[in-house]
Amino acid sequence: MRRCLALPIAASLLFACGEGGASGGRDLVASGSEPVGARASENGKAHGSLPPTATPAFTDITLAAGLPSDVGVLPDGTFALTEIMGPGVALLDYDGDGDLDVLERRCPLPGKAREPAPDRLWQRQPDGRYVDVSAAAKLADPGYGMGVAVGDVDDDGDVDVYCANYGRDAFYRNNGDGTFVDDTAAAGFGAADSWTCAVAFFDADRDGDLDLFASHYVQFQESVVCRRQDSAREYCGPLSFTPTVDTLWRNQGGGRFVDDSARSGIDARGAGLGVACADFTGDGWPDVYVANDAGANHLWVNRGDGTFLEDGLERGAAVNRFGKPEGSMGVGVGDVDGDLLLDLFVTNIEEENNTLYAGDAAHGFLDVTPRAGMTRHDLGFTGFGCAFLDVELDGDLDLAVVNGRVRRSAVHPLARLAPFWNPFAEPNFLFFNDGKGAFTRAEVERGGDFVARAEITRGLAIGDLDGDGDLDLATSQPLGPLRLYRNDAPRAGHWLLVRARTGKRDALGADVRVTAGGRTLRRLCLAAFSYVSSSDPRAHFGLGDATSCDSIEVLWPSGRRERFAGGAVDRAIELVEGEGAAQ
Amino acid sequence: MTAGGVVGAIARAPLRRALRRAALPLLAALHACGPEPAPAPPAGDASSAAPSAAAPTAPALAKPDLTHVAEEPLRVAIEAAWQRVVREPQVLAAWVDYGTLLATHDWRVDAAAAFERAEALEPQEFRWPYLQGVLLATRDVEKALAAVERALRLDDGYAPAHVSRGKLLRDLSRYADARACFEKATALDARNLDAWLALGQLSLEERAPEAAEAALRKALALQAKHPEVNSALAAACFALKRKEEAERYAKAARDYAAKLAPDDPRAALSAPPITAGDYTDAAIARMQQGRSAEAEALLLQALALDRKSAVAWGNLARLQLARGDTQSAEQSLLEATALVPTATTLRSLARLRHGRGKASEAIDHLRAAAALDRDDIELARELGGWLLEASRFAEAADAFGAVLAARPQERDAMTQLGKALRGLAAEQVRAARPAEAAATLRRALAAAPTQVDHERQLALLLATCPDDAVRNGAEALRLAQHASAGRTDEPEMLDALAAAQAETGDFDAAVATIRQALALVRAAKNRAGIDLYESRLQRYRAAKPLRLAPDGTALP
Repeated sequence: MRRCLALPIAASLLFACGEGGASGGRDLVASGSEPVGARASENGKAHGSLPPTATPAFTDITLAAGLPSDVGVLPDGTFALTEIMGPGVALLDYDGDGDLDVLERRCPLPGKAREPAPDRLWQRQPDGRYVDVSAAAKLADPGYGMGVAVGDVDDDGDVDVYCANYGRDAFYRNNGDGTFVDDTAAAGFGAADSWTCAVAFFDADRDGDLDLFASHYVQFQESVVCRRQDSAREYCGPLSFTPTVDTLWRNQGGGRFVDDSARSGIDARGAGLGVACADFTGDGWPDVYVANDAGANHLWVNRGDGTFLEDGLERGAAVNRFGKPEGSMGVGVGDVDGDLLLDLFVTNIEEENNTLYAGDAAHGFLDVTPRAGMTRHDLGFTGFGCAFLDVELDGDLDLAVVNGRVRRSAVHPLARLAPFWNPFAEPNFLFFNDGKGAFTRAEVERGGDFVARAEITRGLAIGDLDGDGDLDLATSQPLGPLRLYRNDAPRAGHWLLVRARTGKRDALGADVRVTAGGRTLRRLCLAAFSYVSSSDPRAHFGLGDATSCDSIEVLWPSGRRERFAGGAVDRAIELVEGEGAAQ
Repeated sequence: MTAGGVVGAIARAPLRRALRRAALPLLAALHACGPEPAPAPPAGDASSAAPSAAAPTAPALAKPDLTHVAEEPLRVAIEAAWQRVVREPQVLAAWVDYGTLLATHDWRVDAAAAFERAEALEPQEFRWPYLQGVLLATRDVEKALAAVERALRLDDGYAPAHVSRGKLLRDLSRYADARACFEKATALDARNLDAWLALGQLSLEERAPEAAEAALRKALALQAKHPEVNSALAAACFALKRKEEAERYAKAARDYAAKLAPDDPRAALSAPPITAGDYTDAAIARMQQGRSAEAEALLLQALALDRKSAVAWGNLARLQLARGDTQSAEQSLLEATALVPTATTLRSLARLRHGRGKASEAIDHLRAAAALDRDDIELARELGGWLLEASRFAEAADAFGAVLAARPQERDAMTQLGKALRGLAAEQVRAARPAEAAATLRRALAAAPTQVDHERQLALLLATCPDDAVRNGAEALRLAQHASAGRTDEPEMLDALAAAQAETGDFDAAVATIRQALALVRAAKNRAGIDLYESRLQRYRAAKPLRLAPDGTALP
């Protein structure tokens, strides 16, 4: 909440925000509770509809949070594909102090592709400001930054970081004392030298440790020159280069990895970008969905025997409703229509709609984009990062999408970059869900700063930065600054934030179902989705007017299913595998 | 200039595909108009120049921004077409030419606006609103729908227009209306594949897989390899729990898609080219149709406009190769690779030069190709073979090592690696580096454990090396015994075994073994073998182990 951030010290922050939810043995945060019912009532906000007048949902707090927010003087582009594609951003608690820090992946400036572009690690301070601790933490990867994966690969209770690059990737092991060490070679990633985009930690073989899936884009050649139909110079598309095969790195224990792609059957080529790992087939094994640019998307179905089968076409998630492969960038995952099946959202290049694939018990997935009301908004836009999140806590998943073209078009009236870059700039989208999976686009009055400027945005990560129980946003751009957007949306309900833990680490991929107020909501503990970014892996539930939670069921990545007692809402809780009642 | 006079052709554009799929028949008809369309009556003749009630008022048009247009002929063509519409705003053909030129170079919105002007001048002509609909379909669904509906009000007998309208309605969630459009299209033209496909896809979205399958099978009957039909059928079969059938259709879709080059020839328009890119694309289309001579002429025209077109050089080389002109092909490939060194052109150049006996240059090119495409294992394998052939054993071993790194279980690569290493070991022995040779032979043996020749070579080296630090009689004997087991009819095996036996001090056994070898070469009347093994026999009888110099001769 806005006024929380303005206060200088933690005590004031807690006091100003109120004490929040009921006490409980595992409460981590006791903040953020407004007089929710009264507020919702004031605004006349009914479930599934937009309030007639409202505070804009997101406020840009980049500058207030101490991050550089000036675009600066941008050099012209050189039409190298690499300079228009990345980088990402991660929200992570690297120092284990309970709040979210920010890792800013960075790319070199155009024309300086071989110069180092050190990442920046921003540590959240008690007053809500961020301080650059890259040097002290020794987490400033100099590579040509693209994606980032965050996970505790050695089960020692702190998060490690994989930096995907154009060029050599890097793996940083957390020393547990606020510093990292480059452990790329020792961890077995020495051969990771290509154009890696999105990376995702998940327990592919359910052996209790985190494996890594890495999407690779194309075999880029700087010498290839591309032109538009009208012969003007333009950034090449992926079809100008050879697509690549993605990589599955198998954790052999203790955070030592081996490239297991070939044995696992990961063999189909594609210009891989966004990745999400979840159980899309309902068999308890985590599958992998890859958004491919200018080609059919891949759905790698986990066969449970160490191998995967690319089954996207059969299961309806590879091509759009017209049977066409699209220029896909980012991936969102969530249950948008409340049927407890996972749905997929894929952002695409302009002249293609972003596509919503609804999970369907018989079909696998169905492209229901028109039904979701998406086709009117995004034809002229190029989407990258995306995330489902319950912005106003009313119990359904809304959608944030960041945009920015990869080829020039008419300059958007909101573009304020530089003459070369303005034709690429586009505003972001925020869509509100009506509770049944149909979306309405929020204009500036409703969406706030997040949709108010046209930039070239790529990465999008979500997390509760200020610990107030709603989800905030972080975005990244190839040239421009990282941006943080605080959620100021009028609240339409209560909330619950669930950290699912296996041993000392986050149980990435845990499937959490909360029953409250007569309905069951399904959310995942996922960090890797969107586009080359990593989000807070805790499962966030907006609960609407439910004032208590009946029960919580967790399907752990191990396959174990457990039930936990519910209880009070408006709190962050932690569930540990093995401590629930087995189902 | 006629309506079709300045239409460029760049095959990769999505618009080109859209035009081909939806409006190409119309555009072709437009081109086929031949003589210039009749000029519209002068302004003021309301009877024909005024828009119909349904047609919009034509907007004032802004000239497209030509700042970034790099190719002079295109800029000139657009400028000329623009000047003409400014000069003759009431001449229908001027707007049609202008709109067509813009459309084929991807200024969709501007092109649609030009056709809107054409519609205002000729409001009874179906084509102008229909083309607007096609052009705007990926920009503004509602406006595109309005345009297609205006077209259908003029003529509702054109099945593709109903398909277009149905797709736009589907995008607006008007499913029942969309279905009616597709059904109307199939009623008008039962052989309209797009209509059956759209009907099937709509049924899938409406969770009616049986109905989807029925429609899609009609489409499949019209074109069995159509990728979208196959992928939709895969999804339908999956929903109907016929997984194996689903996989079969999915495979067909994937296989077909994999065969399509990025510049999908299905999307090619037959229209006069303007730029070097246009000529190249036109040439590629001719190549797809087997019209090689025309293609070559077009490529030469492309290169006359722009000698820096690597694509044109590369394709020219293909044609020259096909007609046996290897000298010209080599020159073209050199030009192509100097401009843009791609793995494909470098490999072509390498093969060409290899075939012409230029082994060393060929290897350099193939190596460069392999460096550009490290995932292409066949390149590494081919490079390894050529290096082996050229006795460049160390490099050959690296190449086959790369193959094995990607495909660790591949037997052929193991064998080839073993050969390369054995060749390298022989070089090392000749260079008096026996320790390195022993290590190399051990690698060869590890790569190809079933190759007894590697065992024999290593045994011989370990038994006969003058260097005490390298020699190892026990290991030599073990290897030689293993290598010669069951091969007592091979004198070379027996020779190695005898040497190992002698090295371990068992001269009686050595004498007996070398006698066996001697008997075999005597039976074969092999004079050199007889001399060699008799000298060995005398040596072992005198209880002297064998020592071989780097050149393979026995030391005293």
